Amino acid sequence: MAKRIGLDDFDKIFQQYKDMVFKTAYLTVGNVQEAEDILQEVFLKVYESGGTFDPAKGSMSTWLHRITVNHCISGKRKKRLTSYSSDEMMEESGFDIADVTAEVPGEMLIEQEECSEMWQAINSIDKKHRAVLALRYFDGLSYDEIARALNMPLGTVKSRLNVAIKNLRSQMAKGE
Amino acid sequence: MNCEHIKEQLLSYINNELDASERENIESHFFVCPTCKGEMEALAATESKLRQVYGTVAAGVSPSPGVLSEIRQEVARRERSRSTLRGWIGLQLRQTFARFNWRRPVRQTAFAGSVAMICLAVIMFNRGPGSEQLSNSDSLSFAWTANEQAAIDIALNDPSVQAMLDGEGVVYEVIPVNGNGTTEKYKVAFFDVDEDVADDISERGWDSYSAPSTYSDGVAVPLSGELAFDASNNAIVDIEANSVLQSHSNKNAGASVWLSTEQIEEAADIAVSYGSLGSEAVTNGALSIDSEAEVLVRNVTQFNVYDSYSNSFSDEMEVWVRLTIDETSYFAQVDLEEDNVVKLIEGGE
Repeated sequence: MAKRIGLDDFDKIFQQYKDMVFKTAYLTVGNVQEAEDILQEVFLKVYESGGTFDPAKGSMSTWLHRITVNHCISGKRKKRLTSYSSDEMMEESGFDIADVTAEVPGEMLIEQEECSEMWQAINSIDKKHRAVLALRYFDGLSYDEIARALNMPLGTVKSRLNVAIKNLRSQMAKGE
Repeated sequence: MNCEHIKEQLLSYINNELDASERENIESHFFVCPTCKGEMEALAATESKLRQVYGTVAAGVSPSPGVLSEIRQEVARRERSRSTLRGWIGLQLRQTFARFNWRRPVRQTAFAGSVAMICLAVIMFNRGPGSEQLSNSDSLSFAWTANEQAAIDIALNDPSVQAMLDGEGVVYEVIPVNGNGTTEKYKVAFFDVDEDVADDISERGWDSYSAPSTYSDGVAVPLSGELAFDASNNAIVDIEANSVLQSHSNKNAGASVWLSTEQIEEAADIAVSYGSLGSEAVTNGALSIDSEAEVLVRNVTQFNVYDSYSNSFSDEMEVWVRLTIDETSYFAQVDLEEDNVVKLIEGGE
Protein backbone atom coordinates (compact mmCIF):
# COMPACT_ATOMS: atom_id res chain seq x y z
CA MET A 1 0.00 0.00 0.00
CA ALA A 2 1.20 3.46 -0.80
CA LYS A 3 2.41 5.64 2.03
CA ARG A 4 2.24 9.35 2.35
CA ILE A 5 5.12 11.45 3.47
CA GLY A 6 5.04 14.39 5.85
CA LEU A 7 4.80 17.99 4.74
CA ASP A 8 8.39 18.78 5.76
CA ASP A 9 9.79 15.93 3.71
CA PHE A 10 7.53 16.88 0.83
CA ASP A 11 8.72 20.49 0.91
CA LYS A 12 12.36 19.46 0.79
CA ILE A 13 11.81 17.18 -2.19
CA PHE A 14 9.59 19.72 -3.92
CA GLN A 15 12.10 22.55 -3.55
CA GLN A 16 15.01 20.44 -4.67
CA TYR A 17 13.45 18.66 -7.63
CA LYS A 18 10.57 20.75 -8.96
CA ASP A 19 12.68 22.35 -11.71
CA MET A 20 14.21 19.03 -12.72
CA VAL A 21 10.79 17.40 -12.99
CA PHE A 22 9.20 20.31 -14.82
CA LYS A 23 12.02 20.75 -17.30
CA THR A 24 12.36 17.04 -18.01
CA ALA A 25 8.61 16.92 -18.57
CA TYR A 26 8.65 20.00 -20.78
CA LEU A 27 11.55 18.70 -22.86
CA THR A 28 9.65 15.44 -23.32
CA VAL A 29 6.15 16.69 -24.04
CA GLY A 30 7.09 20.07 -25.57
CA ASN A 31 4.17 21.92 -24.04
CA VAL A 32 4.24 24.15 -20.97
CA GLN A 33 0.71 23.46 -19.81
CA GLU A 34 1.11 19.72 -20.15
CA ALA A 35 4.46 19.90 -18.36
CA GLU A 36 2.80 21.75 -15.49
CA ASP A 37 0.06 19.13 -15.35
CA ILE A 38 2.75 16.48 -15.13
CA LEU A 39 4.55 18.48 -12.45
CA GLN A 40 1.35 18.50 -10.40
CA GLU A 41 0.73 14.81 -10.90
CA VAL A 42 4.29 13.81 -10.10
CA PHE A 43 4.46 15.77 -6.86
CA LEU A 44 1.00 14.73 -5.69
CA LYS A 45 2.20 11.20 -6.35
CA VAL A 46 5.36 11.94 -4.37
CA TYR A 47 3.26 13.16 -1.46
CA GLU A 48 0.83 10.25 -1.61
CA SER A 49 3.39 7.49 -2.08
CA GLY A 50 6.75 8.99 -1.07
CA GLY A 51 6.94 6.38 1.67
CA THR A 52 7.44 3.69 -0.94
CA PHE A 53 10.68 5.28 -2.16
CA ASP A 54 13.52 2.87 -1.43
CA PRO A 55 17.02 4.41 -1.51
CA ALA A 56 18.46 0.92 -1.91
CA LYS A 57 16.86 0.72 -5.35
CA GLY A 58 18.17 4.04 -6.62
CA SER A 59 18.45 7.74 -5.92
CA MET A 60 15.54 10.11 -5.37
CA SER A 61 16.24 11.72 -8.75
CA THR A 62 16.14 8.31 -10.47
CA TRP A 63 12.80 7.60 -8.79
CA LEU A 64 11.45 10.99 -9.83
CA HIS A 65 12.71 10.60 -13.37
CA ARG A 66 10.84 7.32 -13.65
CA ILE A 67 7.58 8.79 -12.36
CA THR A 68 7.99 11.83 -14.61
CA VAL A 69 8.71 9.89 -17.78
CA ASN A 70 5.89 7.45 -17.03
CA HIS A 71 3.49 10.37 -16.72
CA CYS A 72 4.87 11.97 -19.89
CA ILE A 73 4.51 8.83 -21.96
CA SER A 74 1.22 7.57 -20.54
CA GLY A 75 -0.46 10.77 -21.67
CA LYS A 76 -3.24 10.39 -19.11
CA ARG A 77 -3.86 13.80 -17.69
CA LYS A 78 -5.95 14.31 -14.62
CA LYS A 79 -7.87 17.45 -13.91
CA ARG A 80 -5.74 20.52 -13.20
CA LEU A 81 -5.94 21.97 -9.76
CA THR A 82 -6.47 25.35 -11.35
CA SER A 83 -7.32 26.18 -14.89
CA TYR A 84 -5.17 28.59 -16.83
CA SER A 85 -5.54 29.44 -20.45
CA SER A 86 -2.67 28.29 -22.61
CA ASP A 87 -1.91 31.91 -23.46
CA GLU A 88 -1.61 32.77 -19.79
CA MET A 89 0.62 29.79 -19.27
CA MET A 90 2.92 30.71 -22.13
CA GLU A 91 3.00 34.28 -20.92
CA GLU A 92 3.87 33.23 -17.41
CA SER A 93 6.48 30.62 -18.10
CA GLY A 94 6.62 29.54 -21.70
CA PHE A 95 9.76 29.22 -23.73
CA ASP A 96 9.72 31.13 -26.97
CA ILE A 97 12.78 30.84 -29.16
CA ALA A 98 11.79 34.18 -30.68
CA ASP A 99 12.42 35.89 -27.34
CA VAL A 100 16.00 34.77 -27.53
CA THR A 101 16.60 35.45 -31.21
CA ALA A 102 15.10 38.93 -30.97
CA GLU A 103 17.91 40.07 -28.74
CA VAL A 104 20.93 38.49 -30.40
CA PRO A 105 21.97 39.35 -33.95
CA GLY A 106 24.68 38.00 -36.30
CA GLU A 107 26.40 34.65 -35.91
CA MET A 108 24.60 33.98 -32.67
CA LEU A 109 21.33 34.31 -34.52
CA ILE A 110 22.36 31.60 -36.97
CA GLU A 111 23.19 29.34 -34.06
CA GLN A 112 19.86 30.03 -32.46
CA GLU A 113 18.03 29.35 -35.68
CA GLU A 114 19.76 26.00 -35.72
CA CYS A 115 18.65 25.52 -32.12
CA SER A 116 15.11 26.33 -33.09
CA GLU A 117 15.22 23.89 -36.00
CA MET A 118 16.56 21.16 -33.78
CA TRP A 119 13.95 21.85 -31.11
CA GLN A 120 11.23 21.58 -33.73
CA ALA A 121 12.74 18.35 -34.96
CA ILE A 122 12.90 16.98 -31.41
CA ASN A 123 9.22 17.73 -31.00
CA SER A 124 8.37 15.82 -34.13
CA ILE A 125 9.71 12.48 -32.91
CA ASP A 126 7.73 10.29 -30.52
CA LYS A 127 7.69 10.82 -26.76
CA LYS A 128 9.49 7.67 -25.72
CA HIS A 129 12.47 8.73 -27.83
CA ARG A 130 12.21 12.33 -26.64
CA ALA A 131 12.29 11.07 -23.08
CA VAL A 132 15.64 9.29 -23.48
CA LEU A 133 17.07 12.32 -25.26
CA ALA A 134 16.00 14.61 -22.42
CA LEU A 135 17.39 12.29 -19.75
CA ARG A 136 20.66 11.99 -21.62
CA TYR A 137 21.28 15.50 -22.92
CA PHE A 138 19.45 17.69 -20.42
CA ASP A 139 19.62 15.68 -17.21
CA GLY A 140 23.01 14.29 -18.16
CA LEU A 141 22.26 10.75 -17.05
CA SER A 142 24.60 7.91 -17.96
CA TYR A 143 23.26 4.91 -19.87
CA ASP A 144 23.13 2.97 -16.60
CA GLU A 145 21.17 5.72 -14.89
CA ILE A 146 18.71 5.95 -17.78
CA ALA A 147 18.29 2.17 -17.66
CA ARG A 148 17.43 2.37 -13.94
CA ALA A 149 15.17 5.38 -14.39
CA LEU A 150 13.21 3.77 -17.20
CA ASN A 151 13.46 0.25 -15.83
CA MET A 152 14.80 -1.13 -19.08
CA PRO A 153 17.89 -3.12 -20.08
CA LEU A 154 21.07 -1.20 -20.89
CA GLY A 155 21.00 -2.49 -24.45
CA THR A 156 17.50 -1.10 -24.95
CA VAL A 157 18.63 2.29 -23.72
CA LYS A 158 21.50 2.36 -26.18
CA SER A 159 19.39 1.24 -29.11
CA ARG A 160 16.63 3.69 -28.19
CA LEU A 161 19.13 6.55 -28.09
CA ASN A 162 20.55 5.50 -31.43
CA VAL A 163 17.09 5.38 -32.97
CA ALA A 164 16.15 8.70 -31.36
CA ILE A 165 19.16 10.46 -32.84
CA LYS A 166 18.67 8.78 -36.19
CA ASN A 167 15.05 9.93 -36.28
CA LEU A 168 16.04 13.39 -35.17
CA ARG A 169 18.64 13.78 -37.90
CA SER A 170 16.17 12.45 -40.40
CA GLN A 171 13.63 15.10 -39.33
CA MET A 172 16.26 17.82 -39.53
CA ALA A 173 17.29 16.67 -43.00
CA LYS A 174 13.65 16.99 -44.10
CA GLY A 175 13.58 20.56 -42.90
CA GLU A 176 16.68 21.61 -44.84
CA MET B 1 33.77 -5.74 -38.01
CA ASN B 2 31.35 -4.26 -40.55
CA CYS B 3 30.08 -0.68 -40.82
CA GLU B 4 26.65 -1.46 -39.31
CA HIS B 5 28.21 -2.88 -36.19
CA ILE B 6 30.55 0.10 -35.95
CA LYS B 7 27.67 2.56 -36.28
CA GLU B 8 25.83 0.87 -33.45
CA GLN B 9 28.80 1.49 -31.20
CA LEU B 10 29.59 5.05 -32.18
CA LEU B 11 27.65 6.68 -29.35
CA SER B 12 29.43 4.54 -26.81
CA TYR B 13 32.75 5.33 -28.51
CA ILE B 14 32.15 9.07 -28.40
CA ASN B 15 31.19 8.89 -24.73
CA ASN B 16 34.18 6.74 -23.74
CA GLU B 17 31.99 3.86 -22.70
CA LEU B 18 33.87 1.09 -24.53
CA ASP B 19 36.68 -1.05 -23.26
CA ALA B 20 40.17 -0.65 -24.73
CA SER B 21 39.95 -3.46 -27.28
CA GLU B 22 36.57 -2.35 -28.64
CA ARG B 23 37.86 1.17 -28.89
CA GLU B 24 40.95 0.04 -30.75
CA ASN B 25 38.86 -1.97 -33.22
CA ILE B 26 36.77 1.06 -34.04
CA GLU B 27 39.74 3.36 -34.45
CA SER B 28 41.35 0.81 -36.74
CA HIS B 29 38.17 0.78 -38.79
CA PHE B 30 38.27 4.59 -39.12
CA PHE B 31 41.61 4.30 -40.98
CA VAL B 32 39.98 2.29 -43.72
CA CYS B 33 36.46 3.75 -43.66
CA PRO B 34 36.14 7.54 -43.91
CA THR B 35 32.34 7.17 -44.05
CA CYS B 36 32.18 5.74 -40.55
CA LYS B 37 34.66 8.30 -39.30
CA GLY B 38 32.54 11.05 -40.84
CA GLU B 39 29.45 9.53 -39.23
CA MET B 40 31.20 9.55 -35.86
CA GLU B 41 32.08 13.25 -36.26
CA ALA B 42 28.55 14.11 -37.32
CA LEU B 43 27.14 12.18 -34.38
CA ALA B 44 29.48 13.96 -31.98
CA ALA B 45 28.36 17.30 -33.42
CA THR B 46 24.69 16.28 -33.03
CA GLU B 47 25.25 15.31 -29.43
CA SER B 48 26.98 18.59 -28.73
CA LYS B 49 24.14 20.47 -30.39
CA LEU B 50 21.56 18.49 -28.44
CA ARG B 51 23.17 19.50 -25.14
CA GLN B 52 23.21 23.11 -26.27
CA VAL B 53 19.57 23.05 -27.42
CA TYR B 54 18.33 21.35 -24.30
CA GLY B 55 20.29 23.77 -22.15
CA THR B 56 18.91 26.79 -24.00
CA VAL B 57 15.32 25.58 -24.06
CA ALA B 58 15.36 24.42 -20.44
CA ALA B 59 16.80 27.75 -19.29
CA GLY B 60 13.89 29.54 -20.94
CA VAL B 61 11.06 27.74 -19.16
CA SER B 62 9.97 27.42 -15.59
CA PRO B 63 6.75 26.43 -13.89
CA SER B 64 4.49 29.36 -13.13
CA PRO B 65 4.36 30.55 -9.52
CA GLY B 66 0.61 29.92 -9.59
CA VAL B 67 1.05 26.25 -10.33
CA LEU B 68 3.79 25.82 -7.73
CA SER B 69 1.56 27.46 -5.17
CA GLU B 70 -1.41 25.28 -6.16
CA ILE B 71 0.61 22.11 -5.71
CA ARG B 72 1.85 23.18 -2.30
CA GLN B 73 -1.66 24.21 -1.21
CA GLU B 74 -3.18 20.97 -2.47
CA VAL B 75 -0.67 18.93 -0.50
CA ALA B 76 -1.33 21.02 2.62
CA ARG B 77 -5.07 20.55 2.11
CA ARG B 78 -4.66 16.79 1.77
CA GLU B 79 -2.56 16.75 4.91
CA ARG B 80 -5.32 18.55 6.85
CA SER B 81 -8.02 16.43 5.28
CA ARG B 82 -6.08 13.26 6.12
CA SER B 83 -5.84 14.00 9.83
CA THR B 84 -9.40 15.24 10.05
CA LEU B 85 -10.88 12.37 8.06
CA ARG B 86 -9.42 9.75 10.37
CA GLY B 87 -11.33 10.86 13.40
CA TRP B 88 -14.21 12.44 11.61
CA ILE B 89 -15.45 9.47 9.64
CA GLY B 90 -15.31 7.25 12.68
CA LEU B 91 -17.18 9.76 14.74
CA GLN B 92 -19.89 10.34 12.21
CA LEU B 93 -20.48 6.67 11.48
CA ARG B 94 -20.43 5.79 15.12
CA GLN B 95 -22.86 8.53 15.97
CA THR B 96 -25.17 7.77 13.10
CA PHE B 97 -25.21 4.03 13.35
CA ALA B 98 -25.57 4.08 17.08
CA ARG B 99 -28.67 6.14 16.55
CA PHE B 100 -30.19 3.91 13.89
CA ASN B 101 -28.95 0.68 15.42
CA TRP B 102 -27.57 -0.32 12.04
CA ARG B 103 -24.36 -1.84 13.26
CA ARG B 104 -25.06 -5.18 11.66
CA PRO B 105 -25.43 -3.82 8.15
CA VAL B 106 -22.21 -1.90 8.62
CA ARG B 107 -20.35 -5.05 9.48
CA GLN B 108 -21.93 -6.84 6.57
CA THR B 109 -20.68 -4.20 4.22
CA ALA B 110 -17.18 -4.14 5.51
CA PHE B 111 -16.72 -7.84 6.16
CA ALA B 112 -18.60 -9.62 3.42
CA GLY B 113 -17.07 -7.71 0.54
CA SER B 114 -20.41 -6.44 -0.60
CA VAL B 115 -20.32 -4.19 -3.62
CA ALA B 116 -22.46 -1.74 -1.78
CA MET B 117 -20.59 0.52 0.55
CA ILE B 118 -21.59 2.81 3.28
CA CYS B 119 -22.04 6.15 1.73
CA LEU B 120 -21.99 9.18 3.81
CA ALA B 121 -21.56 12.88 3.54
CA VAL B 122 -21.99 15.56 6.07
CA ILE B 123 -22.20 19.28 5.96
CA MET B 124 -22.93 21.84 8.59
CA PHE B 125 -24.18 25.11 7.25
CA ASN B 126 -26.53 28.00 7.70
CA ARG B 127 -29.14 27.81 5.03
CA GLY B 128 -32.82 27.37 4.25
CA PRO B 129 -36.02 28.92 5.49
CA GLY B 130 -35.52 30.82 8.68
CA SER B 131 -31.82 30.53 8.06
CA GLU B 132 -31.08 33.22 10.60
CA GLN B 133 -32.04 30.69 13.23
CA LEU B 134 -29.79 27.97 11.87
CA SER B 135 -26.51 27.45 13.60
CA ASN B 136 -23.54 25.16 13.31
CA SER B 137 -21.91 26.22 16.53
CA ASP B 138 -21.85 22.77 18.10
CA SER B 139 -21.91 20.74 14.96
CA LEU B 140 -18.86 18.60 15.65
CA SER B 141 -19.19 17.92 19.32
CA PHE B 142 -19.05 14.13 19.10
CA ALA B 143 -16.28 12.26 20.88
CA TRP B 144 -15.25 8.76 21.77
CA THR B 145 -15.94 7.58 25.29
CA ALA B 146 -12.89 7.06 27.49
CA ASN B 147 -13.08 3.28 27.01
CA GLU B 148 -13.49 3.56 23.26
CA GLN B 149 -10.54 5.93 23.03
CA ALA B 150 -8.48 3.56 25.19
CA ALA B 151 -9.37 0.68 22.86
CA ILE B 152 -8.30 2.73 19.83
CA ASP B 153 -5.01 3.68 21.47
CA ILE B 154 -4.24 0.09 22.42
CA ALA B 155 -5.05 -1.09 18.91
CA LEU B 156 -2.96 1.59 17.22
CA ASN B 157 0.05 0.85 19.44
CA ASP B 158 -0.08 -2.87 18.78
CA PRO B 159 2.56 -4.12 16.29
CA SER B 160 0.18 -6.61 14.69
CA VAL B 161 -2.36 -3.85 14.03
CA GLN B 162 0.34 -1.50 12.76
CA ALA B 163 1.52 -4.16 10.36
CA MET B 164 -2.02 -4.82 9.24
CA LEU B 165 -2.72 -1.15 8.57
CA ASP B 166 0.69 -0.54 7.04
CA GLY B 167 0.78 2.93 8.51
CA GLU B 168 -2.58 4.16 7.33
CA GLY B 169 -6.18 3.56 8.23
CA VAL B 170 -9.37 5.24 9.28
CA VAL B 171 -11.11 4.22 12.47
CA TYR B 172 -14.77 3.91 11.60
CA GLU B 173 -16.27 1.92 14.41
CA VAL B 174 -15.65 0.87 17.99
CA ILE B 175 -18.10 -1.74 19.26
CA PRO B 176 -18.24 -3.27 22.72
CA VAL B 177 -18.06 -7.05 22.44
CA ASN B 178 -19.06 -9.51 25.11
CA GLY B 179 -16.62 -9.64 27.90
CA ASN B 180 -17.56 -12.04 30.65
CA GLY B 181 -18.60 -9.25 32.92
CA THR B 182 -15.12 -8.86 34.31
CA THR B 183 -13.26 -7.40 31.37
CA GLU B 184 -14.01 -4.70 28.86
CA LYS B 185 -13.53 -5.79 25.27
CA TYR B 186 -14.04 -3.73 22.16
CA LYS B 187 -13.76 -4.35 18.50
CA VAL B 188 -11.95 -1.51 16.75
CA ALA B 189 -12.57 -1.48 13.01
CA PHE B 190 -10.52 0.40 10.42
CA PHE B 191 -10.95 1.20 6.79
CA ASP B 192 -7.68 0.59 5.03
CA VAL B 193 -7.51 3.43 2.56
CA ASP B 194 -6.01 2.28 -0.68
CA GLU B 195 -4.22 4.60 -3.07
CA ASP B 196 -4.46 2.27 -6.04
CA VAL B 197 -8.21 2.13 -5.72
CA ALA B 198 -8.12 5.89 -5.35
CA ASP B 199 -6.13 6.20 -8.56
CA ASP B 200 -8.68 4.12 -10.43
CA ILE B 201 -11.42 6.36 -9.17
CA SER B 202 -9.47 9.45 -10.17
CA GLU B 203 -9.27 8.10 -13.69
CA ARG B 204 -13.05 8.07 -13.72
CA GLY B 205 -13.09 11.74 -12.96
CA TRP B 206 -13.55 11.68 -9.20
CA ASP B 207 -11.14 13.21 -6.79
CA SER B 208 -10.88 10.37 -4.35
CA TYR B 209 -9.58 10.37 -0.81
CA SER B 210 -9.12 14.07 -1.09
CA ALA B 211 -12.64 15.22 -1.59
CA PRO B 212 -13.14 18.96 -1.86
CA SER B 213 -13.31 20.36 1.61
CA THR B 214 -14.83 23.32 3.25
CA TYR B 215 -14.30 24.51 6.75
CA SER B 216 -16.79 24.66 9.53
CA ASP B 217 -15.46 25.98 12.79
CA GLY B 218 -11.96 25.21 11.57
CA VAL B 219 -12.71 21.58 10.80
CA ALA B 220 -12.33 20.24 7.29
CA VAL B 221 -15.51 18.58 6.13
CA PRO B 222 -15.49 16.62 2.87
CA LEU B 223 -18.42 17.69 0.75
CA SER B 224 -18.33 15.40 -2.20
CA GLY B 225 -16.11 12.85 -3.84
CA GLU B 226 -15.21 9.30 -3.01
CA LEU B 227 -13.39 7.51 -0.29
CA ALA B 228 -11.58 4.50 -1.62
CA PHE B 229 -10.59 1.58 0.52
CA ASP B 230 -9.66 -2.01 -0.07
CA ALA B 231 -10.03 -3.67 3.27
CA SER B 232 -11.68 -3.65 6.61
CA ASN B 233 -9.25 -4.40 9.39
CA ASN B 234 -10.34 -5.31 12.87
CA ALA B 235 -8.72 -5.61 16.24
CA ILE B 236 -10.36 -7.11 19.33
CA VAL B 237 -9.00 -5.18 22.28
CA ASP B 238 -9.10 -5.98 25.97
CA ILE B 239 -8.68 -2.61 27.63
CA GLU B 240 -8.28 -4.03 31.14
CA ALA B 241 -5.49 -6.31 30.00
CA ASN B 242 -4.18 -3.45 27.83
CA SER B 243 -3.74 -5.82 24.90
CA VAL B 244 -4.98 -6.76 21.47
CA LEU B 245 -6.51 -10.24 21.61
CA GLN B 246 -6.67 -10.73 17.87
CA SER B 247 -6.48 -8.78 14.65
CA HIS B 248 -7.41 -9.66 11.14
CA SER B 249 -7.97 -8.10 7.75
CA ASN B 250 -10.81 -8.59 5.30
CA LYS B 251 -9.91 -7.64 1.77
CA ASN B 252 -12.75 -5.71 0.28
CA ALA B 253 -12.03 -3.40 -2.63
CA GLY B 254 -14.52 -0.65 -3.07
CA ALA B 255 -15.26 2.98 -2.98
CA SER B 256 -17.78 5.14 -1.33
CA VAL B 257 -19.57 7.84 -3.26
CA TRP B 258 -20.17 11.01 -1.36
CA LEU B 259 -23.17 13.18 -1.94
CA SER B 260 -22.40 16.31 -3.88
CA THR B 261 -22.56 19.66 -2.15
CA GLU B 262 -25.68 20.52 -4.10
CA GLN B 263 -27.42 17.30 -3.10
CA ILE B 264 -26.56 17.84 0.53
CA GLU B 265 -27.90 21.37 0.51
CA GLU B 266 -30.99 20.29 -1.42
CA ALA B 267 -31.72 17.49 1.04
CA ALA B 268 -31.39 19.82 4.01
CA ASP B 269 -33.61 22.36 2.28
CA ILE B 270 -36.29 19.75 1.66
CA ALA B 271 -36.28 18.65 5.29
CA VAL B 272 -36.34 22.16 6.71
CA SER B 273 -38.94 23.37 4.22
CA TYR B 274 -41.13 20.38 5.03
CA GLY B 275 -41.01 21.15 8.70
CA SER B 276 -41.76 24.78 8.03
CA LEU B 277 -44.97 23.87 6.18
CA GLY B 278 -46.52 22.64 9.41
CA SER B 279 -47.65 19.33 10.81
CA GLU B 280 -50.14 18.57 8.01
CA ALA B 281 -47.35 18.22 5.52
CA VAL B 282 -45.57 15.49 7.38
CA THR B 283 -46.74 11.90 7.57
CA ASN B 284 -46.83 11.53 11.29
CA GLY B 285 -47.09 15.19 12.13
CA ALA B 286 -43.99 15.12 14.29
CA LEU B 287 -41.93 17.65 12.40
CA SER B 288 -43.15 21.17 12.74
CA ILE B 289 -40.95 24.22 12.62
CA ASP B 290 -42.38 27.56 13.64
CA SER B 291 -40.67 30.83 12.97
CA GLU B 292 -39.35 31.08 16.52
CA ALA B 293 -37.75 27.65 16.58
CA GLU B 294 -34.01 27.16 16.71
CA VAL B 295 -33.20 24.80 13.86
CA LEU B 296 -29.86 23.05 13.53
CA VAL B 297 -29.10 20.98 10.47
CA ARG B 298 -26.73 18.46 12.02
CA ASN B 299 -25.83 16.39 9.02
CA VAL B 300 -26.96 14.85 5.77
CA THR B 301 -26.14 11.18 5.38
CA GLN B 302 -26.47 8.73 2.53
CA PHE B 303 -26.79 4.98 3.07
CA ASN B 304 -27.11 1.97 0.89
CA VAL B 305 -30.41 0.31 1.74
CA TYR B 306 -29.94 -2.90 3.64
CA ASP B 307 -32.02 -5.78 2.32
CA SER B 308 -32.73 -8.15 5.18
CA TYR B 309 -34.09 -10.79 2.80
CA SER B 310 -30.85 -11.19 0.89
CA ASN B 311 -28.78 -10.18 3.89
CA SER B 312 -26.91 -7.64 1.79
CA PHE B 313 -26.98 -4.04 0.69
CA SER B 314 -28.80 -3.05 -2.45
CA ASP B 315 -27.72 -0.35 -4.87
CA GLU B 316 -30.64 1.74 -3.72
CA MET B 317 -29.64 4.71 -1.59
CA GLU B 318 -31.43 6.50 1.20
CA VAL B 319 -30.67 10.08 2.15
CA TRP B 320 -31.28 11.14 5.74
CA VAL B 321 -31.16 14.60 7.24
CA ARG B 322 -30.60 14.98 10.94
CA LEU B 323 -32.18 18.08 12.41
CA THR B 324 -32.39 19.49 15.88
CA ILE B 325 -35.43 21.64 16.40
CA ASP B 326 -35.54 23.35 19.77
CA GLU B 327 -33.17 20.70 21.11
CA THR B 328 -35.25 17.76 19.87
CA SER B 329 -33.58 15.56 17.25
CA TYR B 330 -35.29 14.31 14.13
CA PHE B 331 -34.15 12.10 11.29
CA ALA B 332 -35.92 12.84 8.05
CA GLN B 333 -35.53 10.50 5.09
CA VAL B 334 -35.59 12.68 2.00
CA ASP B 335 -36.45 11.75 -1.58
CA LEU B 336 -34.36 14.08 -3.69
CA GLU B 337 -36.18 13.24 -6.90
CA GLU B 338 -39.67 13.64 -5.48
CA ASP B 339 -38.61 16.63 -3.41
CA ASN B 340 -40.29 15.39 -0.23
CA VAL B 341 -39.79 13.77 3.14
CA VAL B 342 -40.78 10.10 3.03
CA LYS B 343 -40.04 9.04 6.60
CA LEU B 344 -39.50 10.76 9.87
CA ILE B 345 -38.04 9.48 13.11
CA GLU B 346 -37.97 11.48 16.30
CA GLY B 347 -35.41 10.78 18.95
CA GLY B 348 -31.81 10.90 19.93
CA GLU B 349 -30.10 13.50 21.96
